[in-house]
Amino acid sequence: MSERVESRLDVRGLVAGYVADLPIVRGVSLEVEAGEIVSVIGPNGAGKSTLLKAIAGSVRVSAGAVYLAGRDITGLPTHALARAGVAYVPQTGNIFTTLTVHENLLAGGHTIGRELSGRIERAYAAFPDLAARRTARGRVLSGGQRQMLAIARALLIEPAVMLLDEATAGLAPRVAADLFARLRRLAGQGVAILMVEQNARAALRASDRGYLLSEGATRLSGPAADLLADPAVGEIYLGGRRRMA
Amino acid sequence: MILQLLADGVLSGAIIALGAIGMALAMKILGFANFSHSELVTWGAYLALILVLIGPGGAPIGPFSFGWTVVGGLVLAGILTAALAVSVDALVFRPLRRRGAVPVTIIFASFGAALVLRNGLLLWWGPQAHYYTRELQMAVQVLPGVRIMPDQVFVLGLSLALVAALHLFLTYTRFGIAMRAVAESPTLARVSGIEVERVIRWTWVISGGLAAVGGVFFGLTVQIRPEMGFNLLLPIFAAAILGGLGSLWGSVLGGLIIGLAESLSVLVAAPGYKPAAPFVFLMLILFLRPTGLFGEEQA
Repeated sequence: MSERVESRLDVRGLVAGYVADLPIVRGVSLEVEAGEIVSVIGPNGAGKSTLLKAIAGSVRVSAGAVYLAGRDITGLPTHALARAGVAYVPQTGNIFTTLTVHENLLAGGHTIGRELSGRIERAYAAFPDLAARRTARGRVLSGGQRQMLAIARALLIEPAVMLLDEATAGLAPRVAADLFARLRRLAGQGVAILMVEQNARAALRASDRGYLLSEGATRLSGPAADLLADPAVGEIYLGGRRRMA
Repeated sequence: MILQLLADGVLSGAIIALGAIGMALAMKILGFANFSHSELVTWGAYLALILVLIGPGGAPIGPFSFGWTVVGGLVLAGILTAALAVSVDALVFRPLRRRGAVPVTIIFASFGAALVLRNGLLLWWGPQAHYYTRELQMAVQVLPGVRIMPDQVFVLGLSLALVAALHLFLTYTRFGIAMRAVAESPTLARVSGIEVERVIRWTWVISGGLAAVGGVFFGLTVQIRPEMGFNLLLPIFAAAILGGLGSLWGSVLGGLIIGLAESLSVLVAAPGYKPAAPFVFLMLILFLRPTGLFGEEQA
């Protein structure tokens, strides 16, 4: 993972949604520098997941733009985005349950040539739990193993940007903490990490900066520590009928 | 008598299985039941017939009733039918997919494609039966009371070889794994950098090619008629569903069960009920296992 492309992610005035004329994301701008972990938090229905999907190319963008290291990648087909260095770990259905662990990694590294087997071995070294279960089908893995596999799969492309949707949902606190620690190491290697989390407090603690999203728009942004201390954050959560977790 | 019926059932089961594998593959990857699939069987048989009629003829090979022209016709028909399947997709199904059509719409479009394909052949060739060869061949006694034609051995052997080759392809090659990935989740496959449209194209190539081979086999062991594929449509569907859609060996087993059920039904019912027999089996098995024999529930 040495020669990574310069990986600043820049989102400018993004408008996106599932149906035309009904935007879920209404003009969001954000940036993630290389080596930075940035969290998007917000109440249910704020458009957090849709924002990630729009960046990852699975939801139609009707206005605004996404730049990766200055290159406009808005509206590229999803598979082309993976080739451009954008790795996306969806919230659900993020592994192939009918394929084995090893096949999941082979499928995940579909775009990689003969280097793939070396990278898969490195993934096994980084995730020994997966190495022990390489012939097990995805559907028999535990929740934590599934997340590890989803992340290992996404990492195969040696991404410049990693988008994670609720990666710690349903995980035991210790497993979640281990995952955040891994993400920190990854950022240390120069990856720009953008994650969406329901558990706002835990996410902000693991992040450098945060954006608070509500009704499809950015309400607050700043260093994670400031957001953690800001009483307005809790109020917006309450406004969305949900306490800050 | 029973052994002979078993042998006949296995043979027609092999042909049904070739159709069912392609249909199940397309159903799993494209997410709709393709009613025009069995017309690819018919087109395969006729495309091979054209090549046999314009080809150099040639003496039968060994104990078989056919010469190298039929073998060449089989290969070319496989390639041409694969191209036909890709073209039908480009003309009919892909535009619907792009516009986000629901599966029911695409299923009805496949009915339309089936009518055009079938009646096109009827206009072109007329309703009468055709044959690849008029050569007689001697049935060989393989077991006491069981006689099979050398052609039937050829059909069974090649069917098995094709299924084995497809199994190896889907299990061990990276493209085969990508196909299985798309079959489970096109969304996640795209996220992984897999170009789904390319996988779909190759799915048509494989299912069209297998359908054509099934058609040529049917023509070789029965006869070639414009409605031959249509008559195989329901058995092919039954076999694909029985096997638990998308499972290769499930489709093979489903094909064999349907073929055997048809052939053995004459032991217990009048021959007129023969086409109904597979569906009795289908209902029984689906009562017990709603996902089919090899069906996997995704979690």
